[in-house]
Amino acid sequence: MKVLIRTLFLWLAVFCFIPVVQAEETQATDQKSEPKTEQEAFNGEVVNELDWEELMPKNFTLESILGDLDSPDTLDDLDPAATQYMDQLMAALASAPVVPEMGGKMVKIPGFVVPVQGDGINVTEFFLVPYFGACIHVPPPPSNQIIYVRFEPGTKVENLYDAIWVTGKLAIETTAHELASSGYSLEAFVIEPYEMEYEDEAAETEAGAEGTPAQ
Amino acid sequence: MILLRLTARSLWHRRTTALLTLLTIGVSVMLLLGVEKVRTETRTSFANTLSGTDLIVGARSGQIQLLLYSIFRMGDATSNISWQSYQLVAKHRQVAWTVPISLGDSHKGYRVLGTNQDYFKHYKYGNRIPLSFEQGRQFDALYDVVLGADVAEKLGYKLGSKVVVAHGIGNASFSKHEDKPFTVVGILERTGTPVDQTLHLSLEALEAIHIDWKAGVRIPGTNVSAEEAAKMQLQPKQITAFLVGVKSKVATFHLQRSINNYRKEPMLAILPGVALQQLWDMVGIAEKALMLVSALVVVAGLVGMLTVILTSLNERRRELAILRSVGARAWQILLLLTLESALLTLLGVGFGILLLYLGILLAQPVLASQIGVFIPLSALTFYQWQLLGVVVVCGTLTGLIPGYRAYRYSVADGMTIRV
Repeated sequence: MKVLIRTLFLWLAVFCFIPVVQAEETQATDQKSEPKTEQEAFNGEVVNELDWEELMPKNFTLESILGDLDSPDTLDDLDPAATQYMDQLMAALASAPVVPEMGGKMVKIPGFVVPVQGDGINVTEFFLVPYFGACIHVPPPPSNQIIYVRFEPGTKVENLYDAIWVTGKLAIETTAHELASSGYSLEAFVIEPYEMEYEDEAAETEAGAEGTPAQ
Repeated sequence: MILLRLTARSLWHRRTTALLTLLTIGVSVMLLLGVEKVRTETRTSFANTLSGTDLIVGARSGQIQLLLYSIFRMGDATSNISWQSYQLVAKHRQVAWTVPISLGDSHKGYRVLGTNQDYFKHYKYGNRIPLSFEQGRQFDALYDVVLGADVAEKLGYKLGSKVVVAHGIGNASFSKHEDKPFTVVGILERTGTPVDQTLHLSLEALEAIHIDWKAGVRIPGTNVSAEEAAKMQLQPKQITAFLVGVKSKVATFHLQRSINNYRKEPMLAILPGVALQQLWDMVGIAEKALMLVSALVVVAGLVGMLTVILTSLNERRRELAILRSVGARAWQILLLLTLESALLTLLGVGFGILLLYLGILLAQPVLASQIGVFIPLSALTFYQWQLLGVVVVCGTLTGLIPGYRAYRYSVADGMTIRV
């Protein structure tokens, strides 16, 4: 009997051991091949923590992009005028103006990943957006609120609901066609998990992270 | 060192049970590594199938479903979309290119895909690798067909072979389009994706073979010959799905929104990367369950080893007593037993790796042809080594149990054993 109890305890210890190893592994790979950075500088360059609002020009308002239109509040969803209004809005939002001064800046910005290119385990190219998910009630964020990120080593995306911090060099890409719309792109150097500021929420995300399989 | 030799000799003396224990651990380790390997390779294989495509558009259904039937040829489309809607999106100012896809027919269990020449230009896999021809060229004439590498190899087709396309997607079909045979004009280079298992022909050709099928079956007496069909109006009226490349990446979301909100026809536009990620989220649960099961099999293997060692302990009390009498300390007895299980686990792990590679070698062709996942004989990943490390540590720790018992025996027994 004694042996049985001892055996049980031993296996219990072994089982506690496995998640620890996995958790360590997840952490290790998150920071894999990335130099530990100071908050303020990376490769001798000053890193600015960026707010998504700063990517919109100061005078970027609905009026400025649409001109004077009837208030959409009075329009019914299936009204042809509403459709027309939405089309105009979509066209305007798809080529929203950018802030030229942002080009070439070293920034650190939080956001959600929308994967574009990867090998099934690591994502090497993705969109960074300020809020997660296909919220179908409103149009997607305007083009100046979407950053196209390239990250050569690739990052593991275990859950689209988890936010990340991206540090890298911002650039403005102008595509040469009739619309000449431009957008932001970012060459990422460091990608870190985003920690919630509130303690209980942090605990929640921790628990969520443990539930996902370590690769 | 002498302890290790003693352990090895002792194990050799009990080689039958030791070998069986080894087998148990080996098989369980193989299972553990195999599950992990299949999991990662499947993911890689899926993710490598489509690259450089910004949106996939099809009839309104589910994101994952659209991805599965349009790209992986798994399941069926719920509905088609009209040619007009396709043209509308294709002419959108943000759209750089489109590739139409029409599915629904087969040839000996391989799916037939109707498309146009843009497919060979814009379809990319892996890290933006375009399709290339091993032999021949893309289709130009109406009754030309381009084969994927597997189709050509398995069915033994060469350039110039005649191929008859069957209606429906079963492995055998009783309604064939045998009056309109196709000529193989090209064979694609192997890609490791579902493209290898696909026959490609033009949208017009699909239209042509279905001309006399308007009623859902070929009505006797209304046959249209291949030559007559070629002269008819073959403009396709509907397609299953299409791939879209956008001019500016940031426009992807807005184009997606416009397509999804198109009032005249219900269509669904998806970002392939997002749909794939959602698929993994779903499959993840099953993967975790599989991992758990294989971990438990390893536990069972180790418990089996424990049983064997513990039962042998009684028989070996005299052996241990003799060891004590010739000067072995009690702690050395403990070490001896721990070493034994460590050695067994280590050998078992080695055996398991051997079994894994043997298994992959045997299963490789089957997996590749059945589910289209190619599993390479690659080296173990860091994570797999970690798993093995955990197994070895657990095995060694298990050895502490009989070790402790033997320790107690050897302290208490002395030379006089009362069993």
